Amino acid sequence: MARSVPSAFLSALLVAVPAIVGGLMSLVLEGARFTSPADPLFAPPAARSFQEALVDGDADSAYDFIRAGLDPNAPLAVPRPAANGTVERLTPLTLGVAAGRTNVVLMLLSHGARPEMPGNGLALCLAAELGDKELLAILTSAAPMPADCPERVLPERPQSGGVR
Amino acid sequence: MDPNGSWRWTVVVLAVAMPVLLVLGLVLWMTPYPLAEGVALVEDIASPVGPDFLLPTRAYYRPLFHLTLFTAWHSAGSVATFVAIVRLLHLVPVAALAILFVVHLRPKTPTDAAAAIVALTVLMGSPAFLDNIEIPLTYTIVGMAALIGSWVLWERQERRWHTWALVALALLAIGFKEQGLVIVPLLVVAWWTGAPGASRAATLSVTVLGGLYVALRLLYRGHWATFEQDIGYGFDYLSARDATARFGASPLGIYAYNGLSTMANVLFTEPQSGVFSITSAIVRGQAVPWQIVHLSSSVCLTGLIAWWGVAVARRDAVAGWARESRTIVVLIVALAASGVLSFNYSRDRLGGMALVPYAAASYFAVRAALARTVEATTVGRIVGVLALVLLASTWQVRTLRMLDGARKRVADNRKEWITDLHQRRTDYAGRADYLRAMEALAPQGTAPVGVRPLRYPRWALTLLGPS
Repeated sequence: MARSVPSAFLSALLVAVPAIVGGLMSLVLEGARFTSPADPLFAPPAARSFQEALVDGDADSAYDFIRAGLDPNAPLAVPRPAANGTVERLTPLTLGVAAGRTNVVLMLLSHGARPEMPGNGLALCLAAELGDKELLAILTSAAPMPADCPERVLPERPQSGGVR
Repeated sequence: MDPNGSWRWTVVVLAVAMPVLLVLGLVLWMTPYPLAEGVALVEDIASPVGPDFLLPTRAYYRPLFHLTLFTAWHSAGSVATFVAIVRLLHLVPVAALAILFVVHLRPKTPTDAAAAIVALTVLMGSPAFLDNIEIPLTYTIVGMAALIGSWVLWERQERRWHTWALVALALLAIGFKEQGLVIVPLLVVAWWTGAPGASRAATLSVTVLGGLYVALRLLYRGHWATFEQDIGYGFDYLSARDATARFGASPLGIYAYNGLSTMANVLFTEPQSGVFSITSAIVRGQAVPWQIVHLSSSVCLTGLIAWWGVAVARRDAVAGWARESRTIVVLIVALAASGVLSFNYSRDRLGGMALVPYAAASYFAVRAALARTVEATTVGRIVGVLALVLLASTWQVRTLRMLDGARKRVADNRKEWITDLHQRRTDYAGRADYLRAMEALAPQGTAPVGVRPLRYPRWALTLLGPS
């Protein structure tokens, strides 16, 4: 019986070890999150630009740019490598439609993007041209289809690590 | 070793659990008030005059929950204060549940403490726990805390105030959600099996109150839908409409299926919301490690509880009712009651009230198994301890998954606020109260959050599973 006491204690301690280790690990990780919030364990790599976030479908990061003061209706300079590096000015809404990012379009509409503004009309035309019924329904619920859509809106798709 | 060591081992168990509880508390505190479900609740309570949620005219009747939210919204003075109150309303029952659970177990030796630690991971690692800590839906977590509070009282020597406390706890549980009715048969069981703190007066009072509540609900029932929500059936889901078309003429069979699904979910993790998803994956040869971890840990623990339960039933059939045999009956009745109350549809959260006695039973089962290993031969002891360490490890993995699930809710809630406002403004254009509440809550929903799911390496994710 005297031999069973340390044996019982050791057995109990071994059974408790997973909880002790798991608990300490949780605490250390949460502590590390505060000291190194940008560590890959806690956060994905931040988008380099608003444009990159839009095209990659990272609505959270794109919203952070808007939250920081960026105008969701202001056109962006989108490079066109296939056209000898010329730059096209597209609104964020148009870029989101071009990249096929429904969540990004919804985010833009939720936080100040106005489809009825002149530059954003292209987004509706593009959604119709691409045959994206979901995006077209979302956009036309916010503004009517422009009467003067160009024959072809975009010659090529914008790329930044993830397109449809 | 002092087997009568007062509160020492209780404190040790709480100290071991504290890191997980602290992390969970931090994550819950940082969770944005959600858009889905959350704003509709505020719309319900937004009118400052004559709240109609006190009348049981709807299928869901949670008067105390709505009254709490109503009071918070109209007295808070600011949205930030309201959200802080809602978060506190979650943290308090979670903390109370964990602390009272350990107090109820009363560990007095190292073996007791180890078993209590495992029981706490069972409580927190079960799907019903995660499903019941979703802000702002404090419904069943309050009931679970009230249940363990009642259990602490009825296992202690009766005092004059016990009756009032038990009635108050039962009212609290029932007032927050229908699942709180589980307390009623449990108190009856406690009294019938000679629990020292369960007086006839308390039992009668709670039973009458429970009966009045059920009568009130039936009186105002009007037309309850045959199926309020989508249901799981076999390996797939059926929409409420499809389920009504298929089973509406004779729903008793599917109601039984729903009830048994909730019970089985507590015991075996399968099915989830009525769907045998893990079984389906195994049958198709596509099971991933975390599914095996979940299923095997639940099956093994339930088997261990059954082994312990049979031994205790044989012993106490002769010796008379005791704390352990009472736990078995409480577990069985809680499972049955939870099953009955989830007749309309099965969800993990509906097993919450039965989870408490399940975790309590796991304490006694692990304790008995540990005691048995000490008496075994050397080889038997090594094998037994290793098996228990493995069991404890699988449940700890599930607890870590629970934490990551809570973190994911933080991210998901914010994502909703970021992307869904436009659609809501369109869909609810005619609901001024809803839109007003939504726009008022939007800033807290879109504010940056410091919590996200951890980006574990792939090998860890295969064990933890999707959060």
